[in-house]
Parts: sequence; C-alpha cells; structure tokens
Amino acid sequence: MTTDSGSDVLRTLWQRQSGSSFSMEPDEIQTRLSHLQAELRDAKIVVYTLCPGMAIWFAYWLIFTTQPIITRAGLLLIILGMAIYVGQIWLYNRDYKMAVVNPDAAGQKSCVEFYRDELVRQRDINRGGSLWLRLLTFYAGLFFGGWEPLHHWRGSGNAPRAVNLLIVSILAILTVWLSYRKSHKLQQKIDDIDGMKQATGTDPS
Amino acid sequence: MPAQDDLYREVVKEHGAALERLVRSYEAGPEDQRDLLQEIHIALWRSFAGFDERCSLRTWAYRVAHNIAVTHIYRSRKTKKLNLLSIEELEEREQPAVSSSSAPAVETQQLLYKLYALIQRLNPADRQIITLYLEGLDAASIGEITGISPGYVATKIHRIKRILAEQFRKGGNHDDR
Repeated sequence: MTTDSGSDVLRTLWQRQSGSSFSMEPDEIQTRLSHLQAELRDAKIVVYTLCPGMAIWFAYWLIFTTQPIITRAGLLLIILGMAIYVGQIWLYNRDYKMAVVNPDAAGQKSCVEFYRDELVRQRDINRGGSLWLRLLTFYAGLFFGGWEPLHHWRGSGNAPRAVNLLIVSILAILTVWLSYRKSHKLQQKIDDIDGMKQATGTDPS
Repeated sequence: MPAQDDLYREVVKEHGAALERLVRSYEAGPEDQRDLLQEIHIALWRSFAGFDERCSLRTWAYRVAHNIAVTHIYRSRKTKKLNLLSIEELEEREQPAVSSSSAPAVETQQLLYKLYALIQRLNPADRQIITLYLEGLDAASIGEITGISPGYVATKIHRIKRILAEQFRKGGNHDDR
C-alpha cells in the first residue's frame, strides 16, 4: 500500500464519519448568550464585592488600629499589590474577550496569527514590568507588614523578623522562577511560529 | 449581503458535519466535545455580524472554528498538563497504543480512535493542517485559513501523509496475524 493511497483511505474514512447534525437556532443562541452574560455578571458581582470587602478590612487595620507605621505601610502595599494584580487580570480578560467575542477578530485573523496573539497575551502577564510591578509591591507589603510584631502579641527578639524575611524571600523567588519558566516556554512557541513564518515568507505580525 | 442568521444556517448546512469532526480532534470526552461545539456555533453566529466577504464563507467558518477551539483547549486545565508536539516530534516518538482486532468494522473504528489520539497530541498549527487536509482541502485553501504559505503546508502534509500511512499499515497488519 502506498503512502498516498493509505492516507487517501483515511481521508475517506474521516469524511464518512457520522455526526449528530448539531445545530442551533439563532433564537436559541441569543437565549444562551443572555444566560452566559448573566453568569458572567454574577461572577463579576462576587469579585467586585470581595475586593472592596478586603480593602475595607485592610483599611480598618490602617486607620482604626494603632499598629506601627511600618506595619501600616506593609498592609497598604499588600492592598496595592492585589489591586495591581486584579487590574492586570481584568486587562488580560478584556483583551481576550475582544479577540474572541469581537465579530471581526476570529474570522479575519488567520489561525497562526490568532494563536500567536493568545500566546503573547499569556507571555506578557508572566514576565517583564507587569510581573515585577505586582511582585515587588505585594512581597514588599508582606515583608514590611510582618516586620514589627503586632501590638497585642507579646514577645520580643528578631527571630520572627528572620522567619518573615525567609518566607517572603522563598515565596518571591519561587514566584519569579515559575513565572519566568512559563513565559520562557510561551516565548519558545512564539519563536517557533515566527521562525515558521519567516521561513515560508509570510508576513510576521 | 445575506443576513447573519442566513449565513449561519448556510454554514451549518454545508459544514456542520466538518465542524463536529473538527471538535473531536480537539476534545476527547463527549461532554467536552458538546461544550466546544456549542461555543463554536455561538462564535460563528456572532462572527457573521462582521463578515465582510473578503474571504469565502468556508474560510471564515474554519478560521472561527479553529481559533475558538485553540483558545478553548489552551484554557483547559487538561491541556495545560499535556506537552503538545509538532508533527516532526511526534514522528520520533512512540505512537499511542491501540489494541488489535481482526473484525474490519472494529478495526476501522480503532483506526479512527488512533487517528484522533495522534491528532490530539499535536500542537495547534499542525493539528489545524492535518484536520483541514483530512477534510479534503488543498494546500492553497489550508494556507489561506491558517496563514501559512501553501508550500510549507504541502511539506507538512507530505510528512503527515507518511505518518498516517505508517499508522494505516500497522492497522492493516493486524489481519496478517
């Protein structure tokens, strides 16, 4: 059996597969879309309730307690770090939705371009300024927030500070390592696509 | 220009079966397949609001379907754990095992399972080329949909054919045992 005939048989076999003739009526699609949008709205309400709730809790610590100034600064940085992270995720999801839901995008872009855009979006959130901004803010917050013992705690000495420094450092190093490892893998895939496009003479994006 | 609903109905009528085969090449489980198929149908219907006829309806439909499927699998936890390969890498590795059978109908089904197992291990670009090739599209049409030059597509198809033929031969050898 030759190579061609073998693959042609598979081609025939592939095309002969029976389907369930799945289809949806436009009215049904619109109803489903409404449900999906309602679910998304509910999820947003939870997020928008949770985030201010946490911010209020931290604000209470900052304003109504007599914690040392360094602890207050730390808590403020933690709030800021979390706000930056939430903001970055929001921007990422917005770009994703614009790419997928936008009527023009999915049909006008070739598959390679579309795939590359998705990889670039995922890579950018895992490295560079985006990563360091949230990382430095959040981990600096954790570090300063745990520097001074809280007022109602008893005990003294530098042991808690050393433990705090150690834990925060390990967490920060781990986060950087995991993020850069992921972004490196994504970059390799992007490079493969660019290499393929250059080799075949199609326009690089 | 035809209305959004008419374009959607036309695509479902002409390419509905192809869309189902496409979905099977991205997702293995029946429930996941149904979810992805619904997602593609919704995206298709929405996309026709912006269809400008700069490409054929078939090209548009395949682009939307593959683009939605790729984002779907890249956001799936199951796929994140998989190491997707290029066709060249797949050629160097051991192929997924499928038990042998002498019954022709069962063997045909096994061949299809084997084909799906092989396709589901491929990276998106190679997966798109192989499924479009199996749908009967030529290199130029595949190039238009994927954005890869027809020459490169032809080279890929040649490799894919060789691997598929090898799989097919292995399947055929079961009868000789």
